Amino acid sequence: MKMSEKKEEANKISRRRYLKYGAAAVVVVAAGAGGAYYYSTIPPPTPAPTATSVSTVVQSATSVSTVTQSAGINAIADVAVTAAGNQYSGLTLRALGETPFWPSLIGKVAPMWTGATGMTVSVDGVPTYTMRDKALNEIVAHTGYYDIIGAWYYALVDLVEAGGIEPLDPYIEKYYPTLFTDGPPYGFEPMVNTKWPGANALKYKGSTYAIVSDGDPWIFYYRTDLYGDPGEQDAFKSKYGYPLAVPQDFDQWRDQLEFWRRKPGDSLAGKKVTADFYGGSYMEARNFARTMFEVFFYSYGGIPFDPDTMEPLINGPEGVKALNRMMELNSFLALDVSTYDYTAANNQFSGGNSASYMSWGISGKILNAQAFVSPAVYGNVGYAPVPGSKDYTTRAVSGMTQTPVTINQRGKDPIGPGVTCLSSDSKNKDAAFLFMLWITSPSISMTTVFDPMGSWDPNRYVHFSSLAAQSNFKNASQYLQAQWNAQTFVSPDIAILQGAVYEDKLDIQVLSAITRQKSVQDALNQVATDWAAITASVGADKQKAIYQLMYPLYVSPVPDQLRIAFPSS
Amino acid sequence: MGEKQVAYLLILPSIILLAVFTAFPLFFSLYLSFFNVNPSTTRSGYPFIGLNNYIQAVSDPVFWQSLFNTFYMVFFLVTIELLIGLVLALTFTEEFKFKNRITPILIIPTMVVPIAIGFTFKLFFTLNYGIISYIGNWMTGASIPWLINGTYATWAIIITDVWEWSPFMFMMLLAGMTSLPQAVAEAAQLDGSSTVQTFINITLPLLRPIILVALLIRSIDALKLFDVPLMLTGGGPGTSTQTLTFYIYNEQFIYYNQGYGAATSFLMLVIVMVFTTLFIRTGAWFPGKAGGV
Repeated sequence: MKMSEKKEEANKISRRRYLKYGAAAVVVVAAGAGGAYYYSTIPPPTPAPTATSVSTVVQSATSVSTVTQSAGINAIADVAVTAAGNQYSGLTLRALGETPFWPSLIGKVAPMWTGATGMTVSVDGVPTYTMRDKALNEIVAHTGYYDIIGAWYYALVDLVEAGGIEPLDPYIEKYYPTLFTDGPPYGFEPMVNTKWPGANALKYKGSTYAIVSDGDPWIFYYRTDLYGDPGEQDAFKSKYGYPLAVPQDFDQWRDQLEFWRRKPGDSLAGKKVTADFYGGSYMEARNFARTMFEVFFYSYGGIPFDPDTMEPLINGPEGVKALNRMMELNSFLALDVSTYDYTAANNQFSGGNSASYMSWGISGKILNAQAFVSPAVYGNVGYAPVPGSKDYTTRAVSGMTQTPVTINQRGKDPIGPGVTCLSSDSKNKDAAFLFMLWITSPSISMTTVFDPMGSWDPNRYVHFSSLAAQSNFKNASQYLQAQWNAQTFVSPDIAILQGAVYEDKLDIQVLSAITRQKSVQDALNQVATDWAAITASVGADKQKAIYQLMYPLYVSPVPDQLRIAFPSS
Repeated sequence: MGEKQVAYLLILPSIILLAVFTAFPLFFSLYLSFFNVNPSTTRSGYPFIGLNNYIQAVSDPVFWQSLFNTFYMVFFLVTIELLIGLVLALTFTEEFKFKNRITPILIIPTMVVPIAIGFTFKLFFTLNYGIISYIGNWMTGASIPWLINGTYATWAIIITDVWEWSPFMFMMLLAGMTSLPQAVAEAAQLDGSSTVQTFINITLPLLRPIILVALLIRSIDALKLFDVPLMLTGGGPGTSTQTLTFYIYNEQFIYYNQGYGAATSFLMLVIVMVFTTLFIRTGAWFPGKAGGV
């Protein structure tokens, strides 16, 4: 036998050995998989509350009278618990919401509900921008798997039209008739009413379909230590001729983005920076770019559609101005800003690599959780409404003339609250509604809206007025003031039929422009074409009926009768 | 029961499975494609709109851009994968130390979940801390906008896919090469043919059927490219890396425009069938030398 053949023979494995090794491999893999499964079922340790005030707020949910000096805060929660009684004990309610926030939030408070009613609550979380699609999948198939569906307000009418959402009016009438008419101190604050002017919150074709759970305005976050540094203030004033302060308009914002740009080795507030430092961290990735654009668009007086004809106006002078402005400001930001989603932008700011940041209210809580921010940032975060425009187009459309916005007006806040809905296919509608009532009640929501891992933003008077809320973390009062201001000067998401599709088409083309795949005008013209096609497919009359309700918000600040002063404690 | 009846009975489960999971969805999709099916038409009962969905698709510049993106990517990634697979296969037909240990390692990429690959390579291409960005910056002295610029983003997808699927080509071609008759090549070398001449005139022609099959399988699979663009670029920037499958996914599952999604799916089916037919016919026409036999 040749050497190579002998070697080959020696390398051949007997059948018995092969089976032995194969069985051993299967056992090892099975043991590994079993161990992984076991460890995955062990619940994670409950994070220790921060030293600031989360524990105070959690305690306050169960002993509210010590915080608010009133029994009224418990009224709605008590009604829900009493109405449920023990009749649904053993029932498991299923909810669909945003991951990871809904499972985290509801997981924290659900034990109280279980203790009071015997019902358990199971939450499935899906990524933010797939919530509508997941809900539609369930609705179209009539699975009835979910009792409670979390949604973004711009998707609400789609879910209703798909037949998946139950009108809440009979349940509100039965259990708590004044749910949306309660005023201060515990009712929903005006933001809820401004979304659908002239009607109670979240009504569609005369019926109420949701309860707000999340305010969701945008806020301007900034580094108080940098803005307050005397050296930086002097340098800014000598270069730009006016004091360094939170930007009120886009010109000031542009100056500050340019000013704060530092390269490694440059000085920043008396210290040398070791990595690129930027004036701002902004979200311009897919699903986020359009919200950034809308800050500019609405503040320039942009209106999405003509309310009489539903002709898209997105590619008009305001849109072009807005997109050009956005790109101008981008020139001072990181080169890859068009890939920044919420996490990337948040991390850049919380990691101490930028001087400002714009995002939803959730960031205010995250930025004050010591575990989530760098030492340089912790305790040094300020809050303000988003910058606005000195150059606001006035337009007479459909007989409604826009009200010019002066420099003292802040930017129009693009906003779209998160809502909680009752599934039409639920087999436990009363029980589910009572849970919805309970979790959005003033007392329980004091826990959920101030949870650092929760995405729910203040949406009731008491969230703003309570002493516990205003001392929740450093500058909490300023945070709440910024949210309040934002929510009274808004331009809402395009919440007509297929609203998510309109917004996504805008998102895609904004990205095409800012990455220079297309010119600004071409990109916006494509948006207009896409929007016109969607409107034609859905039916212009159907869209008009919904859009005309929202239209007043686009053309003017909130009417005076809806403007209410920030509630004091 | 006769033999024929027994035969039909035995294949009946397969026929039922095919009917339920292949034929019915196919024909139901075709049926849906003639209706306006989206959430806003649920209550009005999905109106019949004839060929409007198809007309809308062929009138949509994004549809054509997605098609172009798909073929552009498929052409380059399949070509590069073939070349890499060929080089690796040639190398691994020779004996060398640790060959048996290295071969399984080389095929690991095909076993990794594509979504995980897309996510990992997204980190690699990230401007500030990605390893590929770092290497690119070091080599060129400039920041390469991998995921920011449409052209670079396209090549980022191609690079990722090449990493993932070159081992498939390698395995196919290696299997083909090891099954080739050695006598022909040995005879050519005895007659004075160089290694290169042997490869071009003997090995390649004999390998032609294997190459064609590998290209066909890989091309059809690549035409459905979805998971890597989804994770790496989200079809962006804008729609510059949006493939046709991604386009259909957006319409069908994100926009919930199911009638339109069904229509574009059928258009894609037609395109793939035409491509496959042309490919096979072109492959049949390709002159093959039977290695001197």
